[in-house]
Amino acid sequence: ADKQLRIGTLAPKNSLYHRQLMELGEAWRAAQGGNAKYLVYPDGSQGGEAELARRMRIGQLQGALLSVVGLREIEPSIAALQTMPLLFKNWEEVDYVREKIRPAMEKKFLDKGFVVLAWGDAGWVRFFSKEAAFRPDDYKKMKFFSWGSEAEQQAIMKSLGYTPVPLETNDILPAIQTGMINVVPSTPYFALASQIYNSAPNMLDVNWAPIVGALVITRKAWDDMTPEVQKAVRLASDKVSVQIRSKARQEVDEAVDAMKKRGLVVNRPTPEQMREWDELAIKLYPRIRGTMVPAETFDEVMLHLKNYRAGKGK
Amino acid sequence: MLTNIRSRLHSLWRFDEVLSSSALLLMTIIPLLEILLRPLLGKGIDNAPVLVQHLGLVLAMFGAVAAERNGHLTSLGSSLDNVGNKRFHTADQVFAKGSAAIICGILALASWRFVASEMEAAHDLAYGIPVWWIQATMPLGFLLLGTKLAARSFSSIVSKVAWGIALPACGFLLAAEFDGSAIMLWPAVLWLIAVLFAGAPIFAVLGGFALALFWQDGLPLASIPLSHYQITVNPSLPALPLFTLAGLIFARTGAAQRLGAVFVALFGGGVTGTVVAAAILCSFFTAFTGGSGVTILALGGLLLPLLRNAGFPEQRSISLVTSASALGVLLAPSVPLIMYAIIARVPINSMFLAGLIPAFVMVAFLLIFGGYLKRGGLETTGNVQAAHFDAGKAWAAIWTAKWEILAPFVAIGSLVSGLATPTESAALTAAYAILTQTFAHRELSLKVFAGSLSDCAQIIGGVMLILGMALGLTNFLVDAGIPDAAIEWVQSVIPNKFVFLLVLSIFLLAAGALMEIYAAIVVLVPLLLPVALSYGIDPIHFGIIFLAAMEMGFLCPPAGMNIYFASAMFGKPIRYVAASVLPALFAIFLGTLAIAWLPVIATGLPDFFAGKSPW
Ligand code: NA
Ligand code: NA
Repeated sequence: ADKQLRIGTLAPKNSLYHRQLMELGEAWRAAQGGNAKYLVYPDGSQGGEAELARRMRIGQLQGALLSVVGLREIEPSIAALQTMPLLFKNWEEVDYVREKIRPAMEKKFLDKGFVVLAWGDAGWVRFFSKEAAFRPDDYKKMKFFSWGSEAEQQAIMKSLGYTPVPLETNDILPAIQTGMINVVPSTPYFALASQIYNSAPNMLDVNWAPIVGALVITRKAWDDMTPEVQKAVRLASDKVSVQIRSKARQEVDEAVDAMKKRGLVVNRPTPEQMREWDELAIKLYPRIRGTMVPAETFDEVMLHLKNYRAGKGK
Repeated sequence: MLTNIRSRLHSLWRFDEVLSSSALLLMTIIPLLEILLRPLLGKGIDNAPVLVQHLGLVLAMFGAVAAERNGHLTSLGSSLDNVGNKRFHTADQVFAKGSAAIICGILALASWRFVASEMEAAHDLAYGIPVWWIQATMPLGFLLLGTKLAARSFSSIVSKVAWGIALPACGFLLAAEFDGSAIMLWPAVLWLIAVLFAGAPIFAVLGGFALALFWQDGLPLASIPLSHYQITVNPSLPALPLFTLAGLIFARTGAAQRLGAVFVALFGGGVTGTVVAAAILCSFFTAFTGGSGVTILALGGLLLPLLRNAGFPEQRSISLVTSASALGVLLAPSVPLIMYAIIARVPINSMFLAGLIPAFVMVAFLLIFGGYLKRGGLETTGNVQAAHFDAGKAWAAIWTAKWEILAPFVAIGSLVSGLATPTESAALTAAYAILTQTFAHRELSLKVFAGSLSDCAQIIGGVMLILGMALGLTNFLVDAGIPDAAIEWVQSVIPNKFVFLLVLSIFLLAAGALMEIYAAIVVLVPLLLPVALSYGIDPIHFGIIFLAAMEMGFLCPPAGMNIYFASAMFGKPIRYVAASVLPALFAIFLGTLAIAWLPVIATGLPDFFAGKSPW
């Protein structure tokens, strides 16, 4: 049969991510030659993030563009980049730590049978709520959307007095309209695209956690390529990685501006309130260490971050 | 001594019923515990929603195995049963069930490959149980199904054992050898068509088609069990067995009689009152029983004498009960309504709200255009009473039936108010049915309850198996880019939205006549929904059109279930019943067109609740 490369993603058709994946495919096809067939399945048409990981494992798909929600189905320690709240203050810190842990992380993925082609991100998670809220305690009387698959996270939230309501992504909008949930942690880009901000028009201006993702392909598909093809794919992936990161960050700012024009209220906490948030995060870390994030990776990330901040003289 | 051993063997043989019923019972209890524990903060059941979803897989696999024994696996129908002699009939059965057994063997291998890939990345579900333990029920279930299907058509113990092992093993080894290499499609398709008409279970034929399609491209066969697994662990899916359980319990207690009394009291005893009452009652009851024909069995014996007493002719009475029993599909919490929401990925509560007004529009169309309100042709010899309304009698009937009347409010209210997730709302409704019928009416014995659990597991097990296999088929269509191609083709042929809706309604009438409703939903919705969206049709609106059209399918041979149920229930030939429902079919078609052309009938209510202006 002709060579095939089949890639799945939740990203919408014709979005930035989809276009970048198509460009990568052109590079692969040119290098591969012949009747090589490149297929991208956008819009989650091959299933959600966990399902995409499964379809790669059985060999139906050769690759997927995933966020940490899907990547952790392959290698749990990746959660360190996305599930530790208020750990990263800005993209520079995320980039620095990611570059530091990248060789070891890519090795772990390789051992699990996957090659990481490109890293990307999709903005910061912020809290969108029905009522205005500024302090951690303001959220205790509210009900949070949480992914049904993230059991440890729900246990941690419950133990701190918060109320997670496990749902699927498609249930968010009706659930917030009917009052089953009143807070949705979401990136501004997703809040705009899904219209969540219409029903939850208060955004807390705190960068809770970054959404980090990667394009992975199976080791089998990678080993099937000749060294020349591998080189061409690497080259194209590096370009894709840069494009996705710079443009995605720009789209996040544009999303907030667009929502503000249509009635979004941005709530900025005072320094006093911000301190309460940091205190909450510090209380959370020991609970996350060893449950949601393996202890070893957790300590490593903390160390890199300390070094980075020391190097900047802070 | 011997009988003792035999009865023990007998109960061992029924471990599938015990397992699937226990899974269903846990699926009812766990969400209720979560509702109670949620306000108390702290710990509830570990990973409760995902645990309940995985219980759904256990329920599906073992429920289907039990359904095989009791002959509850859906097949195309006994179309060849009347043809030829006994020897031909036996050969037909051996061919159909033997082929299904081979397919089950292939599915067992494919599921095992899937489970093996999951073991490489093992996760815990809850309480230290690895997810793959639950997933392993798939290869196990398919092997059991294959063995039982193969053994079923032989009479001697030796040939039962021999064929029961040989046929599934044959499929298993064949797939182990050739998985991943491309095979020819056409021989497989011809074989499967023969298997379908010979009367093999639908799930085996759908699974066979999915296998053949993936196989011809050399794609991994494990794709099909993966799709099956993903649907059984869908967060909304537990609502299916739970609402069905509630419906079965109401159907097996005196609930039907009590509701019948209310509607007759409210609409008076005259012809028109009785007709209107019968139509609404049938719809109402079908909402809970899911249009599986149970309504005709539960209400037919009650309504036919009532209509006859009011002077309504026999054929029109049978026609009314048969056709009105098809209508509740649009009324919450019907199973097809939930199923559409799952497949189309729209919120269940929006679908519930959207179906409410169309359900009554359909009743109105049926009564008016079906000619049931015509005064001509009434039998004056009948015991016609003057139509008058007795408030005291009505109130007494309502009071007696108060628990049943409140049931839809429990189901829809808990969901629309945001108090419960779809699964929790369904568990609440099931518990409500169990508790009211046990304690308020004292009509639900332990034996009836256990029977309801087991029957529910068998019905849903059979449905979920069809659903899973059909989704494997759908996944191939997505994989091959067929929905995109369909959009392009349809748009080039039909430029206008209104013409598209007309063509759609006619196409769905034909599809409904040929396909069982659940198979139609899972196979056709993923294909047609993107096309409808490309014409700017709202997915909720499309779902209501689709289900309205499927109501016609209940009345159209060869797959029109209601005709067969009515024929059996009223002891009339199929041709007599089929002819009697022709005016109803016409009326429902007009109703479908009205709903299709006036979107506000469907979208008005959900938009109102979402705070959007419908205009
Ligand atoms: Na089905
Ligand atoms: Na049908």
